[in-house]
Amino acid sequence: MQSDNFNFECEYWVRGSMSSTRTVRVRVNGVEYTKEVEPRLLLVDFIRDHLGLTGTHIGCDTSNCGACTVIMNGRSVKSCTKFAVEADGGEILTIEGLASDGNLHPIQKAFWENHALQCGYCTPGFIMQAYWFLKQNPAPTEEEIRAGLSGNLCRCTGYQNIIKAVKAASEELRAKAPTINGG
Amino acid sequence: MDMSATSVVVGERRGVKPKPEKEGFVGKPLKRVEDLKLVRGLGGFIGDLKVEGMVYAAFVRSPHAHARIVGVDSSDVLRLDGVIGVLTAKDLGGVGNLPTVDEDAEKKPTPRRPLAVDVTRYVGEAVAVVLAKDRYTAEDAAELVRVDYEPLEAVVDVEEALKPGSPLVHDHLKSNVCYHSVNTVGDVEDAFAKADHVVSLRLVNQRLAPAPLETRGILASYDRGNGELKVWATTQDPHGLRDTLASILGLPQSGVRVIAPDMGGAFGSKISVYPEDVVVSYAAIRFNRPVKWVETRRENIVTTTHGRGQVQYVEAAVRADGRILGLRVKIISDSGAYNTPGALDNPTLTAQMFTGEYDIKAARVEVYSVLTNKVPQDAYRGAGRPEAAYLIERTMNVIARKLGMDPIDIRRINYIPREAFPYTTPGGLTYDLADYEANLERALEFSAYTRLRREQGEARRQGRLMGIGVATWTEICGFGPGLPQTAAVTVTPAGEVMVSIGGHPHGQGHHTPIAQIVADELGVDIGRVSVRHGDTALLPWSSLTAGSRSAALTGSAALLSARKIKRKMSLIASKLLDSDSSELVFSDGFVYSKSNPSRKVRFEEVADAAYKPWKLPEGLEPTLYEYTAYTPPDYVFPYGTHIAVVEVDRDTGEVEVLKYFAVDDIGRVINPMLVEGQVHGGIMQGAGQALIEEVAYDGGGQPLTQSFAEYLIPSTQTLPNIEWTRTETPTPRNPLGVKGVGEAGTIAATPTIVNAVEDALSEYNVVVDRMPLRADYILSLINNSGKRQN
Amino acid sequence: METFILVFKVLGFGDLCLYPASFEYYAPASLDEAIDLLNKHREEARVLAGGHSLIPMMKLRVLRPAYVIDLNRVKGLKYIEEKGGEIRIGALTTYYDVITSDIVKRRVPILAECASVVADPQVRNWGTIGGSLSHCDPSGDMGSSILALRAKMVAKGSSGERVIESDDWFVGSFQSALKTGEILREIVIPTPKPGSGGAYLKLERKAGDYAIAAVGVQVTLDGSGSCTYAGIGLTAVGPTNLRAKKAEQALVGRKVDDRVIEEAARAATEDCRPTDDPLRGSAEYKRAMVGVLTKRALNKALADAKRSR
Repeated sequence: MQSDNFNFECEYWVRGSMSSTRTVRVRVNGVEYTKEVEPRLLLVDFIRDHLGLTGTHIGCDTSNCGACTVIMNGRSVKSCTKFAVEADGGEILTIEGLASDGNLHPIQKAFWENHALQCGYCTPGFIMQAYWFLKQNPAPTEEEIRAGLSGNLCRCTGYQNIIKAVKAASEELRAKAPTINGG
Repeated sequence: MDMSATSVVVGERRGVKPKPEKEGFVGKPLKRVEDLKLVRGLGGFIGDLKVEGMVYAAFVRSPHAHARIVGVDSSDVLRLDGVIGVLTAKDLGGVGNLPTVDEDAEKKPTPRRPLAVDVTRYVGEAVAVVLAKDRYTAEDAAELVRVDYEPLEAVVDVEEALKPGSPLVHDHLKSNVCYHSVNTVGDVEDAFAKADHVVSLRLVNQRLAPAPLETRGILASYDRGNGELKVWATTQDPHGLRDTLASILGLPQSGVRVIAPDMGGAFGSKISVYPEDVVVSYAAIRFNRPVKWVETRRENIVTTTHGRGQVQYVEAAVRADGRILGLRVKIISDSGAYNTPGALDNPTLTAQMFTGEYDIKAARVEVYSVLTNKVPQDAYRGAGRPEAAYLIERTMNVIARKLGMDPIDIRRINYIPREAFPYTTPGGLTYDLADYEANLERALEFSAYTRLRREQGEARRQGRLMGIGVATWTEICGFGPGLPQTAAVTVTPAGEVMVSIGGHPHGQGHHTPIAQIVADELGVDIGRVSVRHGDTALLPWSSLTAGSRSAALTGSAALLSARKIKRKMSLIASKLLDSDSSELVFSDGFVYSKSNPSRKVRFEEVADAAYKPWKLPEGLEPTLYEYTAYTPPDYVFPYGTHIAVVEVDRDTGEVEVLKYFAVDDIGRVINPMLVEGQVHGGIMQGAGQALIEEVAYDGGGQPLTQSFAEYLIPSTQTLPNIEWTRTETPTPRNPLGVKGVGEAGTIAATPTIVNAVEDALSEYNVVVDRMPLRADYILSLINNSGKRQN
Repeated sequence: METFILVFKVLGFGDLCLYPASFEYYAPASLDEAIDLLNKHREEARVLAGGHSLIPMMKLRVLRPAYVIDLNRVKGLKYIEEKGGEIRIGALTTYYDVITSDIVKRRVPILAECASVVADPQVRNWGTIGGSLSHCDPSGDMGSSILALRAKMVAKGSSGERVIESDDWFVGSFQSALKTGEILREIVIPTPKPGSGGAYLKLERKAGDYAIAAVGVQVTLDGSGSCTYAGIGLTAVGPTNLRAKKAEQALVGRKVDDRVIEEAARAATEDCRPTDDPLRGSAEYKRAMVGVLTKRALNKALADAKRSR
């Protein structure tokens, strides 16, 4: 149900008062970006409004829900609780960068197959956290998955199918990559 | 995922044969079509949308629960770089009031302005709005609006608000009671006179925040040339919002288009029209700029409608064998600051459903809807029915304990027998069809109830506080005889099937089951069917998505529209095939002659012919478009049995849910995978109410829960995996035989878990009378029982 | 004492903003540069480490520093090393680093246990030990382990470094012993002797929440089973993390049996100073829980101590 006249190009005014802007150079999903931003700009708003990558969502603003989870410099982070300037020189992976060559990542596929999403709002955050978690722990138990995703909230699914999907994804990832790389 | 192995079909006994298993999409666990975009982050939620020239709104809100507005000074605001404008109540002179219930004398008028005038009645009530080039600047600007308040005494507790002399939320009313009703059925006094026991209880359903993961938001854009206001909004009711905005803003309905984009959950909280909807729309017109506002989570928890808040007094007249002879119930519902339609629906529904699955002949139910200085209440997943199920299922538990009966036996003895359907309840409803006993039996077997009780006995011998809780729930859904739902089916000349539906998803996944129904009816592959929704330009009218009504109503409307299409296509095909239209079969993308299957034509050839007048039988209009507004003859009543096993830590009071079993009867099932997903999520929300969720205010009406750091919602570690199966008793009240499942789990889980905890504490002989079951509360029950052994 | 409730009391309740006010941003490359900036801007400046305490407060606009000094570009503040009977942890070391450190696992498992119940995995990936200790939230978990281990904090200012004992570190709610212009550089933990064990137990409304109450216990037993060292830190039951001194005294020099454990647990309930909290329970409840948690943590720590002999 997309409308006809959305403009996803970023419109940005440089503020004349209060504080000076800073340059942020960052690699997101393999693409280099250089932007001038206010220091107070939150990383999540930078990703969404300035880069137009709206798959990273805002759910709580207080780092409780994990909807804004992205991978920054190899670690999952709640991007609502980072300033964009902190990402300068860094590397970020968002949900949009996960599928390669049009193929769903095994975690995305497992979420789809196991009905691990309903409204889909928390889903990108869950998938990104699962992505990081499975790199730490490629063969997790159900209990470990529950702990590993404890910083993400979902109001629809009751989590059961999410846990199942992450388990399924871990199995597929292991089958694909017989040599297990931790970290 | 295949439920056929475990499902027990109980309809035959009543002569209602379930539909025979046929090859088709209905009944299959098909994956959802919308997931492909959602798992890639390509959804289009309100926060993602941008329109050229868009500006951002931030609201100035009351910090007081009750205060007189002495003055508003916004003169500093426009000095800030990047600010476009500011609006206060005095700028909204020509704008109408928000909907409240005030049409008759019984329901007292509580006029509600989009921005507060003179008095603010809850913390967070909007007082002014500022518009700026970005949200950060808008928040800076909002701080510069100076509002002088003279604080007034607030009334926060709903029972305090009932007392004479309590501060009044609305000065012009004589009391805070905005609605009162009494309904008596049967000889209640006689029932109590004959009772061997009278069980009295005070139960509290605490206020809850619906808290969908996506907050509310709106983007309004006014096209001055065409005079059209276009609104993207997180709403469960696009046509309702269109009509209300048109009326409040004085616009023609034809001049307002409402689009609900992808929505991140709603749970009832996105039904009503909110002050921000009106103010943002008005601002877009006034400043001739597209305006967007997305709620912060703090705004969401503090200012989006709450649910449940209800105090219940119950007296049950019980015979020695456990039979309930009569009930006296008083429901005191916390409306909040305004008597909104939704605030009134909750207790009204509770008063209809409070006898649950039980055959209770005599009952008196009294309802008070009471104003308080808190944000108004409205629907929250279940809206009045979870409160009803809690009332009766907790009462059954307390009676069973008093009589020393197993909670299973007390239910059996009071069930409405299966011969009694259709059954008219004291609440004035006529239940469609049920076999509670069969469902219960299935649940006992499924959960290995006898073994659970044995395990409990073993645990108790080890000194562990293990409890088993049961609730056998029913609810009213499929709203309703007075509220049609719509759907239209178009078949394009290429044979593509486009379904426009009135109901629309906020996570439920309408696309797939609707496509399953329509594909089966037209005998085409599901890939050929697409489903559209959430736009007032799609359909002449639609009603809201709520109350577990989509399968029953939207599904039926889509089915009936597809049938009309099929009828017309049969006529066209009969000309193409030169055979009788009544013997044509739609299957596998072809239209066949039943008597001679070699005579067949491709579905798309029939579709193409439909647009070519010279190919049509005489009297048929070209095009394939059919619309249905489906009105059911009556409501439907799903039911089920839930069983939970819990353990209480007797030193800390912590509660852990160890096992959870559910057996529901929701009639026929279109997509079992989606249905099970609804059950999981529903149970989790019901568990949330039982275990951790509570909107808390201090004595002055200041909200103590303002973010997910204070207002807790369940996480991955709240419940173990849920074990679920179902029985199937199709309802005769819609052509699909479906009942509804969206709210089932939520309704059942709360009393199930509380009953289990009360069972765990049985050695202390306490009644659990509040929620959530915080550790400190549970420990206080143990410590105050007088039976604590140290 | 809960951060957010406190915040609302400071802030008032009407403003439901979650967007930070403007500030100037510095990302110094050295600690000296950071200290110079801090001395220049003094109370107007805030130091940013992991940001999980600072940024939420800035979004609520409870804190609105004019200058933010980001330490994350300073090299050499992220390490865990063992040398000369001490474990040294750089201030920018994250919870994640602590949880996954072999040194921590081997020598001071209490720290890993404690770090692993702070908030959630994403927060633990970025939240830093130094940031948490400098923030001095009475509900902070790390402070109690630091007290139990009797760690020392190394603070650096323009006139050099000074060492602050953990007993002197927790000055008040959200107030550490750092003076204006000082930055916490390192945490130094005396390596526990063989025969040591530790435990951190947290009672919470839900996993990842601030504690209702939590207790960190570190003990050492000699060959005869007598307790030669006891450190007990308490979380969320006072204006700061507290050291349960009476409880420690009940243990040291004694053969620890069930009776002694009971005595220590009772003493801990006297050491704590909880207040009523509308969301997490009464002072009375929290006090009782300090007793329960102390007993359970002691049992766990003692079992570990016996095993490690």
